[in-house]
Amino acid sequence: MHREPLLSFTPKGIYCSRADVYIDPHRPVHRALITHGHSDHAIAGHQYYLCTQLTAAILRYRLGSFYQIQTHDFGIPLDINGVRFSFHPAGHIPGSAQVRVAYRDEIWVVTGDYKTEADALCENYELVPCHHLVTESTFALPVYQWQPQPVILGEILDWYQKNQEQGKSTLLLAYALGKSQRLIHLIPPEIPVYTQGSVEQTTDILRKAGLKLRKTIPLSSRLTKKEIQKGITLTPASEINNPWVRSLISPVTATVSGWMTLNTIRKNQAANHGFALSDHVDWTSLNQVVRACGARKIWVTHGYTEAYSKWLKTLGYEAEAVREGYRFEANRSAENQERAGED
Amino acid sequence: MLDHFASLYRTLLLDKFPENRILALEEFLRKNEEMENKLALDLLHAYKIKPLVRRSQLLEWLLEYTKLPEWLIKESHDVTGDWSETFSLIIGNPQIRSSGYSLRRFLDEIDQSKNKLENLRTLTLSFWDKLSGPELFFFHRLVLGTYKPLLEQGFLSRFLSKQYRVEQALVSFRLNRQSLGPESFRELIDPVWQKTEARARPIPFREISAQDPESGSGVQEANWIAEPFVSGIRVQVHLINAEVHFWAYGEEYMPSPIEDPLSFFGFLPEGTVLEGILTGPPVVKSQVKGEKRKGESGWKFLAFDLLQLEYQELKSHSLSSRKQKLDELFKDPVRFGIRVITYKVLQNLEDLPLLESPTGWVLKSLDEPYHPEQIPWIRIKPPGRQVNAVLMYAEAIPARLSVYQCTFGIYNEDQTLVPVVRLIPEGLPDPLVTRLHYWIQNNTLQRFGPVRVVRPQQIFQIGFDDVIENQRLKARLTLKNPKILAWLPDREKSLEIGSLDQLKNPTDPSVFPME
Ligand SMILES: [Zn+2]
Ligand SMILES: [Zn+2]
Repeated sequence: MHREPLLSFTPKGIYCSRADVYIDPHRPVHRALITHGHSDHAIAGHQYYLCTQLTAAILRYRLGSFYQIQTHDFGIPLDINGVRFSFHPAGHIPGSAQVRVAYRDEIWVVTGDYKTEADALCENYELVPCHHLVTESTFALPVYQWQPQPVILGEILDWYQKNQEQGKSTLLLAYALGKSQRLIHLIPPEIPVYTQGSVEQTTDILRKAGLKLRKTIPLSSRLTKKEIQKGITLTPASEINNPWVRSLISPVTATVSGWMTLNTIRKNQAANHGFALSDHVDWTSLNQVVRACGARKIWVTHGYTEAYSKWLKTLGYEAEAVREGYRFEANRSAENQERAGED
Repeated sequence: MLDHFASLYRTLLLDKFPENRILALEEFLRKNEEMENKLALDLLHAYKIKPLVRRSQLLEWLLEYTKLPEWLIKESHDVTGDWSETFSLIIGNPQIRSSGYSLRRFLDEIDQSKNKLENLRTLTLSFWDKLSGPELFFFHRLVLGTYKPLLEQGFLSRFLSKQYRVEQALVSFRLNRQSLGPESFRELIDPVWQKTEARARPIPFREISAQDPESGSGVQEANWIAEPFVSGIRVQVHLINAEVHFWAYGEEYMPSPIEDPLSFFGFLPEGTVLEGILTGPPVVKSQVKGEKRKGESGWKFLAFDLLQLEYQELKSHSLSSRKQKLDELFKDPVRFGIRVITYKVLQNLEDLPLLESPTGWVLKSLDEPYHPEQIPWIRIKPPGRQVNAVLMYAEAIPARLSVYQCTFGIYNEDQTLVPVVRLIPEGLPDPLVTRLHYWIQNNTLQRFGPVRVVRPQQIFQIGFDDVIENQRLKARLTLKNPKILAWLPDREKSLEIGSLDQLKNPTDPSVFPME
């Protein structure tokens, strides 16, 4: 018996026609399920949004409160026109979800962005068995294999310690949503954490929405430069050329991003240093997920789509690179800085 | 330890801040054993290794080891742009932080296996099992022959001299004497000149300080000469024990740039010390191979002074007597590449043909010994010129905060702007740098990657020494030694911007000597 696939890839995004619902659409639609609050997944202009509670808090802050944003808990099924949807933790950033879509005996999982290593802040990634896996592939090449989080944290703290000994101010450059909160949570409580405006606002939104995060101190003119020098300052990478950074006591900067794995990117970035801490799955974990979820067909989005689907085919999977409408194709040369921030 | 060295190597490779490089080196030397330190320094500044295995061979082993398809490795290489890095990232087990190898044992094992491909294969496979990612990167660079020393000798000897309080001359000498030199790190940094070393010890150079033409008062009174100031390497040449040693200004030992220095200097008596300028062959180094004949290496040596003859010191003698001995020594003033500078006595400073000389003159008193109470010789520079140019493009500089690489332009024949010089506004005070930063941010017309096209409104006074023709550039000329003299913020642009015409014709009033 032939029937239409449960999900299809349209110019507006991933679409379930039976329920008339899009997942992370990149054009305005009637109904959108949103995996997480990053701007390449959640745009303004949809009529109805459905997402987890933390993601909703982010969206209200980012998009404005006049949007109709409905929240839905992890693991609770929701029927729309006979199609059963549920959110499952993706481990990418606080509130991030995979979307499971089931109809009769067919199960699809759209991962959104995800990370399998537990980071002690996000809800831990949950492996969801399925027939069709729609996976991201931001770091889907064998050169990307992450060191465990405690190792990288150790390196960051060593670096901070050295900066202290030399009287330098430590700045970590990290995306305001996700990476910043992960770092805030990881930095031991005895080290003061100073936050640039957008980092503080995002953190505050998540705190108010129930995320437990240690104390942070927003940067302000009331603070002395000496105080700031003693702590760790978190700021988005875009701030690096701004005079306030220059005005600190011997500021030294480090980008925190999976892209810091690559020597060329580390060398050509504006920051002094780099730590390869990523919020995405690496090569090894991605292959494990593909194997363990039991899917017979893999749809590869968001990254090294061609290479990774080709690889899966050599392993005997049915696999396809999803291109249409996705803005974030693997992009090897330009805008490394942007990418470094968006990871 | 190998892991420490591998991470130092990575830092030196990726970190562009000299200060961080020094800190990394300091930390490394502190943490490691003496034997390892000497070895590491040799690796960092002079180690040369031929490729031990072809890339295609290593790739073949890797395909076998990882069971990955070749296209995927190539795809990965497209991302990293570096084979050693690609291989290490793919094979490196992120759980391994150190192999526990010492640097010595690691190099020895490579050395023992390098002559037989089968042995090298076995070694490579065992390293792939146990080395960390950074260790692998270093290993791959070594075997592929792409390993390059990352520290310049000058940087290293300055560092060691400061860190361990040894004369830079001595440390730089030892760094170059691998075969005769010390085995251990301690011997390298021993502050005492050994007997054999002391014979080649440099005589401290007399300083030369630059001065503006106007301020040369008082010079007329004495018995002076003016020697042309030639750009090149200022060196002392020592002929000791049938060996030629070169010391560069700053008392830094220099490996001989000339392939067979004895063919140049071998005719001189033992114990001779000359001072002069070495001028090198034209810039492109690897241009002509195998075409060199004796004495035609392209190097020239201009002998200005004689400081020692047959181990007799002459530096306390007057310049006129030194010059006389120099003339006697070189019966034939042009021998191979050597030219002796004969002198003419100047009656009057005003006769100096300053404008004809691109780099100036050095004034020397004929009555003085080489070191009269630490007074420098005076170098007279030709007068500088200046032009008003407008800021056209600003490019953010990686690793520099709020500072831009600025491109300045002047008017072409058809009254359009043409870029003539690219500069970082180094001399500007901090508040002006900040002001310029905001101005650039708010007046960007267009962006091409890191380059911003800005509103052509901000005029800068650019000082320079001379105009040099360059057909590859749009303006067909470039400025020699340009620097920003001043920023004339927000002036009426049509009145102020210079033109190509003015640059080519220096008599024009808008291009006048520096004040
Ligand atoms: Zn994301
Ligand atoms: Zn994303």
